[in-house]
Amino acid sequence: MGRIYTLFRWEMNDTIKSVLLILGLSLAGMSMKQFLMGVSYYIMFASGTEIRLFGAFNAGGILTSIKGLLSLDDVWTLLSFLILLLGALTFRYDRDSGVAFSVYSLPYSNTEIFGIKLLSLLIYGLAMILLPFTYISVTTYASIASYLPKITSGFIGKALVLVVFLVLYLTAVATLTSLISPNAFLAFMVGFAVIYAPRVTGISNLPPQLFINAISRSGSSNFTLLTTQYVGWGLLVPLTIFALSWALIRRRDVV
Amino acid sequence: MRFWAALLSAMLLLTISSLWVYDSYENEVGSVGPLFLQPVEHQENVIRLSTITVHTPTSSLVEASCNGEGVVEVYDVITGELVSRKSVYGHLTYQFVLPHEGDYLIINNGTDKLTCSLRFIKNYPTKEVQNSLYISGSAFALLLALVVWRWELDN
Repeated sequence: MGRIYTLFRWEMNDTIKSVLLILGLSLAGMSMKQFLMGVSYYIMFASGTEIRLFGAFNAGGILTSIKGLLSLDDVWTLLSFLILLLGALTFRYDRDSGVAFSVYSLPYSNTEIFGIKLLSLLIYGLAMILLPFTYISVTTYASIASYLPKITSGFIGKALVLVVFLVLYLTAVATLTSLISPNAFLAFMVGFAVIYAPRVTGISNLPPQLFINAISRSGSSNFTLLTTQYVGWGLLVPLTIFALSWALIRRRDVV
Repeated sequence: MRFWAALLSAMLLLTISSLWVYDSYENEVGSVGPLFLQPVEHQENVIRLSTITVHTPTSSLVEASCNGEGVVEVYDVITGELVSRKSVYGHLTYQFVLPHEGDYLIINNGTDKLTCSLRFIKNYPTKEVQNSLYISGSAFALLLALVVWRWELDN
């Protein structure tokens, strides 16, 4: 276990990746904070013999604000940008700079190296969205923090699963493009095109837009995660791409 | 080590910039309305009412400017606590404080129609929010110092 852990520590403590983590975490958090700073209101009409006006489940303004944090365009633009860069750094840059010659000649199998690199990439990606989200929502609503679990209970589970799906998809694209590209720069450019083409052309049934829209709808009661679209793009496609990347890295020499 | 250092400095940076955000948000005047407040109607057992839910990210000093006739009531949505109640005849401008961040419910508990607009003139984070930022910020700074110190020992 110590053997693998050494490799893991090595992979996690890369300097450029750490700098990108600082950038990603603080900028994502900042745009979330700025999004929350503002007043809003909504009007409701109610009639009946017994009307429930109060309670944590009626705090729709807080719910909308917190849900909005996870579907911010700015945050996801920044995040896809950074995950692609991290992917290119993890899987391609070491080969460009020649470090890979030493790494891959160490007594580790290519599978082990691939697994560790992928794990570190996923940890970086998830940390950059989940940490600022948790921190900003808890500190902004610190006076009513004890009600937050109740307020968010309607959507938080589904929304977090969708976030994981989206991060998995972005990581998968970053991994594959890095492994098939001849250099890190091209890997980044190709990955960028794959992620952004659906966005700029306005195709909303492809990720990332598919998931961003889904997160903002995750609060409604008739929303279900278990559709072929979400599970397919968020789980099956990434897993297929990871398997493909694994096959690629096993079969190929370091060049 | 470097990962933890990066993570902690990012969180520290986020804490400091949150404080800075509150500083610049303090005097930012937010406005809500004009809101048309219909009176609560009772027809036998059936109650009909229109409610306004206002969301503010800080505790705020609100200036309400109302026209018409009625009773403006502001409640904390989560606890149901009454925050302010004011009877309006004709025109009235008054101020009240929303004690913490969150949602507030505004209804007209009178018999006639009212139009109100709200201006959020001062916005301060509550003591709890400030404490949470200061305490977590201190924790991040201490842990970061620990990481850097250990780093020195490692090499």
